Amino acid sequence: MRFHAFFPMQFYAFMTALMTALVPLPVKAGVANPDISAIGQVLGGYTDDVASADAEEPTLKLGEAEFVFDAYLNPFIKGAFILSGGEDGFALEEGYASVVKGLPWGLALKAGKYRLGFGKINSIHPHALPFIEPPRSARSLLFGEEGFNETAAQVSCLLPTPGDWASTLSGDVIEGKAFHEGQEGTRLGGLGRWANDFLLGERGALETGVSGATGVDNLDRGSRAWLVGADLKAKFYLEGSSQLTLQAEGIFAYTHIPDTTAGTHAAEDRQGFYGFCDYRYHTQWNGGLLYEQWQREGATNMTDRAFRVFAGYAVLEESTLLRLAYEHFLPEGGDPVNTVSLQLLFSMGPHKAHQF
Amino acid sequence: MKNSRTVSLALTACLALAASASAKIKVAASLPDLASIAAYVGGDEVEVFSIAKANANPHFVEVLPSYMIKVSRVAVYLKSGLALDQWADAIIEGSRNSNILVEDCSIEAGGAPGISVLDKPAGKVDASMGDVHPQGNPHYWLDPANGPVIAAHARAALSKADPAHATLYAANEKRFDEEIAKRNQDWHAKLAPLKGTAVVTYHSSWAYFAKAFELRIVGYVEPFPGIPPTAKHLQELVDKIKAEKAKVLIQEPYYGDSDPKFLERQTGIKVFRFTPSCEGIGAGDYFKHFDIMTAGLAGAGG
Repeated sequence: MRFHAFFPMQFYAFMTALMTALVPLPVKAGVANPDISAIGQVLGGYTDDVASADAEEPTLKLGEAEFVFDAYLNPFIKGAFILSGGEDGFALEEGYASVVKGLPWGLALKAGKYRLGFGKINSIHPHALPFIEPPRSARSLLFGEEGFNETAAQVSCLLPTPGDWASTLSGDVIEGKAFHEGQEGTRLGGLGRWANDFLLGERGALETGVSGATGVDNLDRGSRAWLVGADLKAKFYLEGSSQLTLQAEGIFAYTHIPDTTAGTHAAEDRQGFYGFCDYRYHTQWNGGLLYEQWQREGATNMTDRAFRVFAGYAVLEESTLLRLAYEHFLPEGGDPVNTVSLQLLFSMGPHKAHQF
Repeated sequence: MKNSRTVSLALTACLALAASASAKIKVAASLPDLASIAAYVGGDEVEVFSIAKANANPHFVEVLPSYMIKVSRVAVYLKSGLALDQWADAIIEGSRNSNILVEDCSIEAGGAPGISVLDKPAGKVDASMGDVHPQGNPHYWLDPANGPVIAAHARAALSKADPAHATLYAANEKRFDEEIAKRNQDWHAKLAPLKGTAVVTYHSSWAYFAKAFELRIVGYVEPFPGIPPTAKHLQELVDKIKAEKAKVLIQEPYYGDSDPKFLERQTGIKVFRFTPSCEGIGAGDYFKHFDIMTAGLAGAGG
């Protein structure tokens, strides 16, 4: 009886889907496909890191590719999906909807999975950075390669400020999984950011921000972890299309490190920072330096350091970029590691606005 | 008692002054040219600003939160359209201003005419053609005949945002049309000796300007729009400049000097560096831009 009751429902659902697919829908004015962009990369490298399987051997591989679909859902809400991956398959990196118009008091809402707005660098996709890899300090303090990326719901507000001063306050309720990765169950966390932007005359812009996030890092003990960060970015628009960017960010993390053999659950304070300068000569060339240092996870008495030199060349215009980087990594108590990376980044699809 | 009355009178005067100042209609424009024309049409009733600067490439404007906060306070936004100022959408969106009236100055709407668009590509458009605008060349403000089209859009938007001063805006628009018609005669007279002259431009920004003053564009420094020149393309251009006896090369200041200087050395062509937009956003600055360009080019005919 239950089977008979279930079968027609499935059948009708299937038939409805089939009819929807086969019968052409009337074309509605103004309805169009979403904007689709694709970004790919080829990576070459050489490292003397003995811990690497490819130590002292040149490498060549297809890096992570990204597909972006975005469109207005209606006059007030926008949606976006970002798939990333490579030869082994793709995963949903981001998928969210944002209410961008129609709310009072300068409010905006966003919900879904997205790279969280903690600090300045976390929310930026690596291909949009002036160098190949995100800073090691940010990866160490903000949950690894994929960054701080979770399902969340955000309210943000553009505060009423005089003149060119833009002040944005945002608060997110987050799934909290990043804090207790690999543990059974979830416990919600929170994130807040206050960003202030100023124009520096006709030829410069400055953004400063402070961020804080919290979540439970051990579900059994209910221990709470905290992240606090401060960031600064300044950009100077020089002659022609040349630009100079200075950016720095400091992160402080308070977490707990479980030691299953000793049965302890020790609290750990760690901090780190990076700073870089990037000079863009007209629209085709860029070059810069990055320095960073951070305390090692599980061994806060050890401070690791890294120094990078990077350069980029847009072959014709911004859709095809060649990037070269040299990194000198100094793990405390270990041998220095030298790495040279080369990247060909290519993108297709609509040219989106350049965000600060 | 007398003192308190004086204080209250002074306060009332201050408030009235503040109210009259704040009563101005705030207008944002993507380009200085649109802002300047809006300043003319709006007169004392408006306060305008432009997002793009005259000496910066209008195709690539960085979306700064400070622009968003400025746009959050405006009643009207004038877009240039034709996919030139796509960055304006991110600024308007980021401003979270639900009451903003967005006017695209390129299309026919609300009693204002549209632009007769040049270089509209036929068929499929893709990146193999360079950074081609699918709706056509967007640099239309560089033809003085399109000034009145922009003025009509400014009048239409301002009248919607501030119906109480609609008559004033219409009168100012009429005054603008008359003034530009008169000035256009002077500009044409100045450039009359150049009629039919072969010119080269760096980017395709000057198609409307060339059409307006009957200059003949015979080549571009860019092999495709937005694509920097190759050595082979420059050599072909040298041959073309010599064959066509081109005398004038117009270049925007945000492009590098080296290629135009190479062409100048090889062919003797004279390089003129003009901003594609007017330098100021005051009521007469749109006219001043043509004054500067026509005065600069006037001597090139001989």
